[in-house]
Amino acid sequence: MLSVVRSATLLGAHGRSVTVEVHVSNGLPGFTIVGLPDAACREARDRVRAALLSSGHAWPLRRVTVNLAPSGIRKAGAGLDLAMALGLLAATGAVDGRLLDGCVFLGELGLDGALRPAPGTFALVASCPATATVVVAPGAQQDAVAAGSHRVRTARDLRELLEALDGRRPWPALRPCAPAPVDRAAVDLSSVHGQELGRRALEVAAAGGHHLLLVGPPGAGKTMLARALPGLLPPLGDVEALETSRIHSAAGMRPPGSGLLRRPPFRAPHHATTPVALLGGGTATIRPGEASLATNGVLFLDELGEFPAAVLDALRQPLEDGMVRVARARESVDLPARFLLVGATNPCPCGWGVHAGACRCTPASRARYLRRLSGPLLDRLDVQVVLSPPEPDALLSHSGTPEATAAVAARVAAARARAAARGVCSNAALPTAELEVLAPLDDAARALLRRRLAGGELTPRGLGRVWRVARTIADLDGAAEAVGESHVAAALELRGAATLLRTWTVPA
Amino acid sequence: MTVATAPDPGAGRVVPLAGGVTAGAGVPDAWRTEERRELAALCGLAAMTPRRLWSLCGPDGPRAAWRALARGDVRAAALAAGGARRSGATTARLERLVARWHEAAAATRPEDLVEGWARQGIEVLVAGDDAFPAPLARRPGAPVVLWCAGARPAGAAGADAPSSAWPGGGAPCVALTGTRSSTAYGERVASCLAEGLAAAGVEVVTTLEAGIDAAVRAGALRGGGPLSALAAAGVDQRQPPGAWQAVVEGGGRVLSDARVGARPERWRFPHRNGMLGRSADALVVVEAHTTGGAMHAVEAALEVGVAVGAVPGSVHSPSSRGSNALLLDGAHVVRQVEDVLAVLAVSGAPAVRVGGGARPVGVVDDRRPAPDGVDGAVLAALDEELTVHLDRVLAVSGLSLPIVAAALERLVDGGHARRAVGGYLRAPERGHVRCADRLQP
Repeated sequence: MLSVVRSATLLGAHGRSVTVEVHVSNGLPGFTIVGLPDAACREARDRVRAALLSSGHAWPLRRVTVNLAPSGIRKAGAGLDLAMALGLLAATGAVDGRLLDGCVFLGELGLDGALRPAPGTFALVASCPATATVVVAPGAQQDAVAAGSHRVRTARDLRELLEALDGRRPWPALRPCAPAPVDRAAVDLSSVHGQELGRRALEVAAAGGHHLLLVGPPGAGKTMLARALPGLLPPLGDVEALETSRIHSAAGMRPPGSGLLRRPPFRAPHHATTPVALLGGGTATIRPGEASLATNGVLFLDELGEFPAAVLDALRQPLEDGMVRVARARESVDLPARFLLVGATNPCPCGWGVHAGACRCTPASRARYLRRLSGPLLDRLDVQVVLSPPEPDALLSHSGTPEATAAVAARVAAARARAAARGVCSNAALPTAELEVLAPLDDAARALLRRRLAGGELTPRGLGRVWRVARTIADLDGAAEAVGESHVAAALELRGAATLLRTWTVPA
Repeated sequence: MTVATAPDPGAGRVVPLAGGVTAGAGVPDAWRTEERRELAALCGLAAMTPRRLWSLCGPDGPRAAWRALARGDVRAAALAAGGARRSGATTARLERLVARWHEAAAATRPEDLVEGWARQGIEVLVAGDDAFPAPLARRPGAPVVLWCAGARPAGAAGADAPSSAWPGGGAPCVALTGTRSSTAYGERVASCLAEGLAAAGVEVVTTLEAGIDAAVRAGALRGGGPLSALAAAGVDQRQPPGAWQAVVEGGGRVLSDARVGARPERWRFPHRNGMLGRSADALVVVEAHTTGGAMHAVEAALEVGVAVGAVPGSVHSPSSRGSNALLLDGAHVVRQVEDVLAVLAVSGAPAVRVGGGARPVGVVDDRRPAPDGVDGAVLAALDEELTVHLDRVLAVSGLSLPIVAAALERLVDGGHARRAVGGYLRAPERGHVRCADRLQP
């Protein structure tokens, strides 16, 4: 009369275990689902009925109550279909309920009884107990295998599933993971000609985890450089790969049949993106936003000044805490959002402001344009460079191929290893209190910083940023324990756009 | 625009202008001396135009006009009869305007008004005064009155006496102007021309804008010569503040035909540029786009027959297109101070005073040791006139970023290079006068 089947539902980027209880009793025939199902979940009734009938089972003309526990959290989507169908069969005695013990069932049902992947399978499986056997649709088996060490079973449809459960036939074999799709938009540094400063800015940003601002005229190669950045970052470790894959799965962004995401993601939302799309949220279900999708990778905001101020300012919390907390009256969800932020902007409305004689913007229009960049956000960008379009010679001469991504990535990895030896994941995370110990400055470097501070070209807030970047440059440069004058000078050079923006935003 | 077809300067027609009060056929001497304060007070009324001024004064002169205004005897009909309705103003609007004038005239005395300006350091120049730019006073469309801040002779009795202490009085006068979005090349040439001309005793006229005009002001002040900068707003507005202050404190003067208290409205800028073109014996455009303020000045100059010269610029630089086009149209080629002096000589300006306060030109005193090693290699990648982006320095020197950055830091610190927007410039070798003889063939 009563059966209990285990399944899971999505909440933000995480799965939550759900127990599906099916009770069949005498009474007026009917089918009721309780426990906060959303519209898609409530429609399970019709799908389950058709699937059972198509699979050769009878629909019980009795009173059926399905409870989705815990009943306090909202259940979204059709992923509980399979668990409900099996629960109903167990409750009516068509299937031995003991066969379902120790299994978690995730999947939608087609009207013909076919199993279909549940959205966010990766996140759902990750939330299951490690000892459970996970039964998923064939389309989701790679996700389920990649998500953990669970025993994964799959079947094409309900009939095949019941026969395999009974032991009347073997479980169908699992297909191996397809190789990760090649990111066609990724740029190798060997195809970036010229741009000496931009290349170094990328290298430093990747090595130290420093957020980056690229200022330059249209066609200077800002987007191209930004797309080359994920290639410089080290491949994701197991923990990061699981986290990023889980978020992508929860957002429904994973191509079917792919395994763990090993490459750092690259997300480039358009400037018309709403705060909810960037940070995550939504009315019915909480979906991870672009900031979360960029976790352990790069979030690229092109035309930074075109983003509404509210959207940019909303990024400040994730930049500080590494996560977005979406709070609703009923629930509060933490979405991971640890990304490397790359902003790109023109220096002025016409774009040619850094080229003497080419720009005819008035100081006032320039200041108005740049004031749209949120000051507190700019403060968090450690590396800010002014780019220039590559010279014709650099584009056309074939005297030498520029250094490829692999060579730069090797230096980045070595520098990151040095940072890891200090106990931080990257130099950008060095605590201010320990800079003196972990990044000691030599006398010349100290004198240079003092000169700049006294001249007002460097603000006290900028000091810490320059210091950390100088540490990264020293790490890239070799084994230097102390940070030297040249490293600080280079760090100041990699902050050149900050001075420019500050002078231009103040009206003459 | 064709320089060859400039109209005869002697045509003497009144150019109708939106702002300011024009002298037309010239201000009668009696008005300029005895009725000076009333004339200034009338010109300082809101929305005073040349036609309205002449209609008001009629044969009786400014003093009688002011008294009539104060009594409320003036009717809009009088203005209308004087042909002052060209602007399309309705009788009702003219009535309101006259009512406002009556209020202002009844509330203050011209003496108090002029005294108040004097206390703010503002002097009144009437067309015909020695300190009034002589070329401007000669031209049609000259303002009757200019307000002047700075260069006030110590112990001057007050604003009501014609001043004759302006060192530029009687000297030839050259207007130098150009674009706001200048290049390092243009700024160098502008500053070096201005310095050389000022040192030779020529009065330099320019505006208070940024870019080329800023370089002109700096050069003229360095040259120690008389500098007049035309402001678009009233001189008391001190707009733009930095430029205003630099001129007044550096010994130059700021002139404006906009009444005291006038805001820098949009239309005042082209009007001011036109006045710039008419206020000198020769106009030299250093670097200009094909449209913009410098071209307004050129148009005005050609209209009244002022000689126009231009400095050749790079054919690649957008900010030299206008000045190069002027050369193509037949403007005088200006490479150095002597070229400008030659233009002045043929345009019939007063002879240049040589000696006196003039300073020697072309002295170079560079005792800095030349950088060598890495610094030398980095310096070699820089240019004096084109901003060089760090990309190029890195590519040319083949050195790593930390090494180049440290070298640039030393070079900037030692005065060999300087930072500019979007890169670095090699610092000229001490002094800007040097560039004048560099430009010689």
